[in-house]
Amino acid sequence: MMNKTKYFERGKASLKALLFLPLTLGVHAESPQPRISTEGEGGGFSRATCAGCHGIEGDGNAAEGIPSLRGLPSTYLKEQLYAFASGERQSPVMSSIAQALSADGITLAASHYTQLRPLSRPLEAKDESANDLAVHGRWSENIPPCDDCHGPDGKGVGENFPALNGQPALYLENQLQAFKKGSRPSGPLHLMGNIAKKLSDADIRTLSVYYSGSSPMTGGQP
Amino acid sequence: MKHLMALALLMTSLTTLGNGLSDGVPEESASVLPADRDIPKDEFGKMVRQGQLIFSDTGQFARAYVGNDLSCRNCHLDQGRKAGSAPLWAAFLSYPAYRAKNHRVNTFAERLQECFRYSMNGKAPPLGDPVLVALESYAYWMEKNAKINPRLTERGFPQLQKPSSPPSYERGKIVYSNNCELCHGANGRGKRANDGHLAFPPLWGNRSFNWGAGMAQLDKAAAYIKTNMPLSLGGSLSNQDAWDVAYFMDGHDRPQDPRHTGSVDETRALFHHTQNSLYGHLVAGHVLGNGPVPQN
Ligand code: HEC
Ligand code: HEC
Repeated sequence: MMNKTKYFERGKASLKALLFLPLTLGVHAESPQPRISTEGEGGGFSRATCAGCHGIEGDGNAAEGIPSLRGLPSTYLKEQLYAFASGERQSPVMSSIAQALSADGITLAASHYTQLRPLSRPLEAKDESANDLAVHGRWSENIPPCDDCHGPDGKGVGENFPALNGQPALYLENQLQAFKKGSRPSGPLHLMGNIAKKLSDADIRTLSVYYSGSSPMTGGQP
Repeated sequence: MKHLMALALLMTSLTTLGNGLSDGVPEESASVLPADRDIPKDEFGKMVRQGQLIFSDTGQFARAYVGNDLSCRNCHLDQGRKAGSAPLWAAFLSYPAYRAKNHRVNTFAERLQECFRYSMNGKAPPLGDPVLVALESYAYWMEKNAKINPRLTERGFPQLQKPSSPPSYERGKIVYSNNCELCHGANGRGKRANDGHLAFPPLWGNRSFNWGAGMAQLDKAAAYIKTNMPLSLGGSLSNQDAWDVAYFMDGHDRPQDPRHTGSVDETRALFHHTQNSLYGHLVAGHVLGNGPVPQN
């Protein structure tokens, strides 16, 4: 069974995060919006800040459900950092980190990760229902195929539709649940909020495993 | 007695008609179509699968007959299953039929040929061509294994009531930037996925459907958009918005009508003599059909 606890609530992850908090928060932790840079060129961004959880190469961490940032669209990355900072996208650790970044820092972070070659895994539907939803959708409930917007094999489309391919199953599951519950903004045109509300927990589980490219037998780890 | 029965029959047909007319969204539970895994694993099944491949990725599997970036599934959603997007299986049931477009009775295969000529901006495969046989097999298989709801008319696009104000390019532009641009792009060009595959199809310009296509007619475009767009949010636009954005979309230039006689005026008089076509009209400072066609 996959552990469904949000990754930052888990012991190991929060310990790790704590290690990096002093480095990144500075004295401005309480300001709700990113401030204009007062911290020199980096605006608060250094690779080390993010590497603590997302890994030196931005690969993420499957066991902790921490996403890969590699090759994600910069517009999307920036939007997420702003949403963390404002609290619209809920994550205690990410919101403190995003609040500590200046606008420049956010731009730098986004342009750094967007340049890295994205993860790419061959996807195999162990479970027919995953493939049905991902490739055909469930139009009787107006659920479009995920691949229509996220691209074939979920490899992403343009600046607004991030790749799903290779993301940790636990991360994808947490995000779909967050869209469903409203603890993450529902995205452009509220597309994801609308769709996630129509997905059952079983749909979410099976799609998350599918796009992670991992086998369901190992609990969502590659 | 006879009169009463006739009256009752008339009333039922009127209510069925009413279903589609109200707001463009089918209300009752749609017919149930077979799933891909039900395709038989025999020689016929192979042809059905080939038809499905052609329907889903027309440029790849019927390359010789395609002249743009579209696939049949882009307009006939859920691989030709979805009610409200002229489903292929319901069309299969409806031919041979008289068509005002060419003033004669058309077979199903002839109807398919037209899609290639206009919507796909390509060439009609000759009758008996494996491409047509495959598409017809796919349509037949779907229809034969469908649990059809006889109370619904699921053929075609639901007819949309006329808007209260005449459609407007300017209002359509706003509807477009708020609801469509995200996917189809500011220039209507559509978008490709990171791996190069087409993700969001082009709505105008040289890689889209041509002036002879059904989608270039305002009433059909408005009905399709109202029912199916923005993707997964069908039914969310008002009727007025759907007409306005259809006007905006069809108010841009696209590949020439293959029936073009050499003169836009003459072609308009012969084939576009309807309020539903903007061909040959001056829209946003540009006589449509006269080029230049925006290039992708
Ligand atoms: C640009 C959108 C578009 C594309 C692409 C497209 N079609 Fe269509 N199709 C339409 C429209 C619009 C109509 C309705 C036309 C009308 O009512 O006259 C239609 C009608 C049809 C019909 C007749 C439906 C009926 O109930 O009479 C068939 C069959 C059909 N299309 C098959 C295809 C096939 C096969 C392809 C691919 C080779 C294709 N279409 C590609 C838009 C499209
Ligand atoms: C979330 C993305 C998204 C949005 C927003 C969206 N579309 Fe689409 N649209 C698509 C996709 C994907 C297809 C092809 C469907 C398929 O192949 O399954 C499509 C197909 C179409 C088609 C038929 C194919 C073609 O190229 O002619 C038209 C017309 C269209 N859309 C118009 C619109 C209009 C008008 C709007 C705004 C009211 C809109 N769309 C909003 C994703 C979108």
